Amino acid sequence: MIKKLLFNMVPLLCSLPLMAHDLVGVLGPDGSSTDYFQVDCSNDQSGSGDSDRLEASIIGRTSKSPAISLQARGNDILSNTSDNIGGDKNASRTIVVADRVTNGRYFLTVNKVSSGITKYEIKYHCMGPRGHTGTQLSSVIQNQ
Amino acid sequence: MRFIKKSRYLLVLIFNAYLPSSIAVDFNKGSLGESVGASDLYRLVCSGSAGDYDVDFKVIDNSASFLNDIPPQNLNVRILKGATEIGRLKAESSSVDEILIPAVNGSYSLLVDTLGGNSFLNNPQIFTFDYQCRNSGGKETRSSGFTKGQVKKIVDGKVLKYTLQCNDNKSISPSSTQYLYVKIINQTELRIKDWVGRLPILTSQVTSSQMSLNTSDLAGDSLYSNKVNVKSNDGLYYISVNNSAVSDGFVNAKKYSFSYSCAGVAGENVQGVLSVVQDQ
Repeated sequence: MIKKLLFNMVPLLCSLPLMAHDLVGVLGPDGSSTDYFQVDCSNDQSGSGDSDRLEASIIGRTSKSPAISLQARGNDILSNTSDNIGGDKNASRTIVVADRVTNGRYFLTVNKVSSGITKYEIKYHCMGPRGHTGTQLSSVIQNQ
Repeated sequence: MRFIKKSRYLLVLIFNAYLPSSIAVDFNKGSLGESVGASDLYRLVCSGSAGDYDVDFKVIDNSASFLNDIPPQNLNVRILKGATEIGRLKAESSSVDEILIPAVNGSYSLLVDTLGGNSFLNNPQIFTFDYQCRNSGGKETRSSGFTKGQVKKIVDGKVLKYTLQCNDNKSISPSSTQYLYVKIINQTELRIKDWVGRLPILTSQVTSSQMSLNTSDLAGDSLYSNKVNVKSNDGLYYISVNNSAVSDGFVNAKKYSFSYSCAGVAGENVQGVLSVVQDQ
């Protein structure tokens, strides 16, 4: 009973902020489970200027889990990256989404290829011509 | 009688009037390239409902639906007289190759290897040889060596050597050998499941402003993925299609189809307009 309760609670632990611009989440057992986030990029007046792109990667944190993927979408552009081996130290390749507007809004979705609870960590950074810019996880739209 | 027929007709009309209208399902075909991360992106706009929208969606990976889509395994045979190569055969999975080459009485070597085939499939291959030494008139001279038609097996990456001997046949004229005929029959069937297991998995996401769902499909069968149902309060959806590849490669290329339908707040069929945003 306790085991079953803990099992059901795992997906609810999703999306706990680990550190700035890192995000740890858990996808639930269903194969269609998807987490869905909104990230806003801005000029944070740090000297890096306006943001012109988002860089992101994902790493699966559960061994023997399904391949896990991250999509980042700007206005009319989408990039996809995957980590096929969960539980190792190798993250996916980093994707770069360069929207046509500066200081844009990006949508991140995280999903997997089959059923099974899967823990993951994503790194996301808004970037400008002179380095890191303002990066804000504005909304957790869906947590499955 | 006429009255009964008319009544039946009216009943059918009344019955149909109370049935909900069926939802129109539309289909779209696309393809993904070999680059890692390739993603197609579509915009789907559903309109005509007085409230929220529902989209049903499923996708199918058509990449390995036919055997021709799968790169075959190879068997290569080099035919040697001493150290000189005098002929070559190549038989892909479930295929045959043969050769008739000028020859003389004496010993010949056949070297079999598996180079150049499907590098993802490494199962042993099975094959048989047929061979014949012939005179200038095409009649069979004497030959000896390994047993014709015997089933042989080669492990991936290995080289096997067989020898045969051509001699005079005193009962025919001319009695000496002028030609050597060799045939190889590759009896190895392509292992579709092994191949499919090596392919990146096709994935697709349907996303509205309020939710997103993913569905995946394995290649090599005629079955669609699980259907997902995604709700929206404004009728604007993005459909993305990609795969789980982690490096560039020809195995990443995908042919796919998906079906989609837009429904309104009461489950009624509403118009859906699909447009391509990104084609990779």
